[in-house]
Amino acid sequence: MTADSELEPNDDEIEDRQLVLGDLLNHVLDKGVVISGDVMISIADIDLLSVELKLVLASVQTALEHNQSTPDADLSLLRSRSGGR
Amino acid sequence: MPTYLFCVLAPAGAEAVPAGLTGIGGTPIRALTAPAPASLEAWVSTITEDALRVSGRDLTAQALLHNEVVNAALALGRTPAPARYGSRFPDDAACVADLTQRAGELRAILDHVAGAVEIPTLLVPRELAAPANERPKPGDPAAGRRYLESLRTRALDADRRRSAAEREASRLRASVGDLVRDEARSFTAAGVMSIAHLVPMAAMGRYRDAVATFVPAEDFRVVAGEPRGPYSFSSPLRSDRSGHDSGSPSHNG
Repeated sequence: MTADSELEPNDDEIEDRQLVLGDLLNHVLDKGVVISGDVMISIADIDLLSVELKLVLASVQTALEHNQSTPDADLSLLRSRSGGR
Repeated sequence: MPTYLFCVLAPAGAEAVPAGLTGIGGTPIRALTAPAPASLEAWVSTITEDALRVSGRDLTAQALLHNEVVNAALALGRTPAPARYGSRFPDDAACVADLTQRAGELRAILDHVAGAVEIPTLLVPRELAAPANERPKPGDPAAGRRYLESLRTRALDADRRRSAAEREASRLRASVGDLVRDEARSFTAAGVMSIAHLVPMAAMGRYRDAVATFVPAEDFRVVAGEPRGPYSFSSPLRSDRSGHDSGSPSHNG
């Protein structure tokens, strides 16, 4: 291992943090008590009202796979390694 | 002005909303009460019509802020039933009316999660799933057959990965034994098994010790997360899932 590589962040630790954070976001967005009011999420300035949230996440993943550069949308936390690298 | 719902709780004793706790848009968190016979409390805030019209980084920040309010309830030793991010009503009266109408369902959820936290554990394969197949190229006579073969190979690989992850999840479940009140699993497209265990607060230390000493099969590693509100155990659909959330391939961890 070179001195340069020793200075680099630990890839496993970074990936672990991203996985844990992505898992948390998936749960906050997709689990929990469902109410009779609105569930509102906006992505890329498009309002999505009372939608099936899994569909939203799938759409985000599809968008990321088709367009790696998504203006005004830092959704890297939702990327899997396979989809984002 | 809309009322944003963070979580639902059993009626408060002496513990109130922490002073200075704010939510989306920086507005203060308030406790709404649905009186008896509903006897429920909701942590809400007033938001502007545009507060949820965000994208990208701001959406992530708001979702984490939502979770911080849920964590604030946990920090008081009160286990809430977290609402999904983005849950809003036209006003306070509409929120109370909904809680009152569904009091039975909500009380059942609160009884189940009382005194417990959700602890996430991820079983991560050493080699994550391959990226999506390339589309067949026009003009290649064998491209269609190769494409279909690759789809079949990919499906078989996904089945193999899922079976292996389920085996490891079951081994982990056995190793934590009666420290866990309930469990929910979901399997991501990348091949990560996301396990949520509902753990009594009094057993958290022993649970962490048990997970730390768990040795997975060599093609997996264990990534432990921090305790959080019981999102996985607050969805109404859980009543017909017998303790396992099979998840969806559309999840992407």
